[in-house]
Amino acid sequence: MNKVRAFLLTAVLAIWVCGCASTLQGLRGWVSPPVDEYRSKAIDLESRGNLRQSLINWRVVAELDKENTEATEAISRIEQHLIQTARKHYRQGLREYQAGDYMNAFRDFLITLRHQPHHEKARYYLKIRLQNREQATYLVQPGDSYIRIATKIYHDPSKAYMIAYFNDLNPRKPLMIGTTLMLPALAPNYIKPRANITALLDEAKNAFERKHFKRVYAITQKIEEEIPGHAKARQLADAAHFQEGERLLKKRHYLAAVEQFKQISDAFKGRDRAIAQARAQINRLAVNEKLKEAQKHLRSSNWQSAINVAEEILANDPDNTQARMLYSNAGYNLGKQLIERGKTAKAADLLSRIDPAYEDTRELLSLARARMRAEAETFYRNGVKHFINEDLESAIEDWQQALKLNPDHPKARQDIDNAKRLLEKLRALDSQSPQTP
Amino acid sequence: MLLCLLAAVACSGRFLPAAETSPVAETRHFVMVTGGANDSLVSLARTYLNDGDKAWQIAAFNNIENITPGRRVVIPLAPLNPGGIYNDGYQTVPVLYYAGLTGKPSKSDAVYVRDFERQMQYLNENGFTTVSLDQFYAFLSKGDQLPPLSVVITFDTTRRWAYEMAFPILKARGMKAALFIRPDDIGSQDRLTWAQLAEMAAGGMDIGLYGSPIKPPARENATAYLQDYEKEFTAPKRSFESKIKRSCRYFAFAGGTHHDLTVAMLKKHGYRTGFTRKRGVNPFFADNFKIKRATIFGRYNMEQFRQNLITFRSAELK
Repeated sequence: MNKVRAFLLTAVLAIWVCGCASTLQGLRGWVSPPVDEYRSKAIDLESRGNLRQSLINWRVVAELDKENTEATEAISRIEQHLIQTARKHYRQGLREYQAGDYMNAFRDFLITLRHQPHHEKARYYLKIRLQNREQATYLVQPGDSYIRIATKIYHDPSKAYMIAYFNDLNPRKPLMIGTTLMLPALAPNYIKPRANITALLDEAKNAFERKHFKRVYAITQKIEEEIPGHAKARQLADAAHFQEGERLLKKRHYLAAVEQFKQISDAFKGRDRAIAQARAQINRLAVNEKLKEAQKHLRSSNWQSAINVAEEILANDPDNTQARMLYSNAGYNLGKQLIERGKTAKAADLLSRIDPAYEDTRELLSLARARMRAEAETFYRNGVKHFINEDLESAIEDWQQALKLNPDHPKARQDIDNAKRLLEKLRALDSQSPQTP
Repeated sequence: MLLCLLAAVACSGRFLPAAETSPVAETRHFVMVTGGANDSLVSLARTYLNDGDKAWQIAAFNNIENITPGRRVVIPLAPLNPGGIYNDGYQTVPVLYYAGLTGKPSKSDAVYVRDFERQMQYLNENGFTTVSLDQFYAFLSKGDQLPPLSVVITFDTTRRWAYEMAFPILKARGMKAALFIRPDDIGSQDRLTWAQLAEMAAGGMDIGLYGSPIKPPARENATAYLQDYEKEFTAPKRSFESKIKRSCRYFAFAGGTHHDLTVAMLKKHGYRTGFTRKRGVNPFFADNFKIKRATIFGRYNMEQFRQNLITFRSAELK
């Protein structure tokens, strides 16, 4: 049994080895590339100077025929040649560039890249330096940073990021010493120096402490121009305006104080209260002036003018006792005068508006009203006369005058109504009667 | 017996790798595959170079136009001529700029739509490849290789002709282009809508921003001015990205002029390139933020159009 097993195993192994070998050979024949085709192509390309194309063909040959020493030698030879040629032309290009021979430098950098496509330095010179020959450059020195260079070149540290981005560099990463930076050409609008904000703020604080408020305004305005809405500068300016406003308030320069307060930011605590306080003082002053004016009118017996001024004050300040007193005084005197002149209705109207306790206003008003009632009665009687004479329109007119002087007249209102109805009937009759030729 | 069977199966080759797209050889420099029936240059480029647009590199190296099943193909894993540098010169990429298209023949700046169509037809029939802004950027920044006759087509507009006239012509030919817009204008009368832009973006059109870099100072103060100026870049970018749902990385200078401050701002905010209207072509070493563009005017005949398609500059580079 063991002999049979051994025989079978041997037979299988023999078939395996022979069969696979023949199959692999067959496969090799099936996929076997014509190595010669690639070899010829490689030789031809190398002879024409197309080294990189030749190299890949040699690589194909070497891969397909691993024992082909000609291919491995060619690969090594071409690789060396590519590196050496690239190095030689790069150095030459660099010398030419530095000597200002840009045409030849351009050609040599191109040759470098043709032989060594990933030669970053040649690429940099070709793509950046030669393309931007007019661009100013800066060689990074020990201790340099983007901010330092921006300050040095543009007098403005805020331009640091521009230098970085313009050179395809990350502004957050440190600068390597010896790097040549292209300096972006900026129009004057963009390179206006930016002030040192911290120094300006310190200066503004000192000025504030010394109460040199104008200086504070000037400095904070400068900061505001640089950085609109700069919070600390705004706070300093607000505080300065507030203190200056309060100083002016104390000196009773209320208008100037309001102007100062109005320049403070809306959110500043105490701003609105200070403005209200200053405005109240301004009003008070204005009222005093008006009181003086009213008194002057009073002294000159110019009652109506005094009343007008007092009314003006009372319109804004109804509790102003001085104005109320002036008003009563002038009103009393004018009322008295009107009664004397027979203008009782006007007098009564005026006297009814002043303090009845003032002097004998109450009596005077009673007198005026009594006279008005008497006048009303006179008008009433005249109306009756007109009625009797069938002059209904004049009768109505007089009774209306009577009512005006005495709205509580017992008969005038009813008589007017009767007269009006009668008048309407008469007019109706007139319109119905045949027209005389 | 089992061992016999295993051996027989193994020797028959039935468990050997399938021929289609399976690498015959693979190194860090190249992959060699045997083309399968379902393989194409684009599918191989997508599989091995992660970019179907690089199919031309496989075609060029193997000197083929299509994949023949059973035929070996070598796929170089890195460009052989990065940046398009050759012994006898280097590649340049023309970027064409159309100020406008019009439905009627014109002698003005705007190009008659039928002329535009003829120009696109010319590019298509003469081996030109319109490349995307990402491809162009890779060429400029990493030295990626572009097809030899590469061209970029651009428009700076929010007017509807871009959607109604240019887009259908480009789309019908599978051509790429870039449209630079100003978000504030989108949706207003006679202007493109966000929906149209989304459709154009989905149809292969790159969308970027155009803006006005030179603005008279709004304030006397330099810092305040810088802050205002920066908003000119950040606000439209935010608006753009919220609507288009993709990063805004490409910028065209309105009026075509630019200055260093703008360039620094663009770089700060993650833009990759800036397109001017200075006439010229762009080698790989062109400044990314000074990309030259050739304005194509309505009065141009085909010869004048062709003169702007310079894709190679001769130089002795041995």
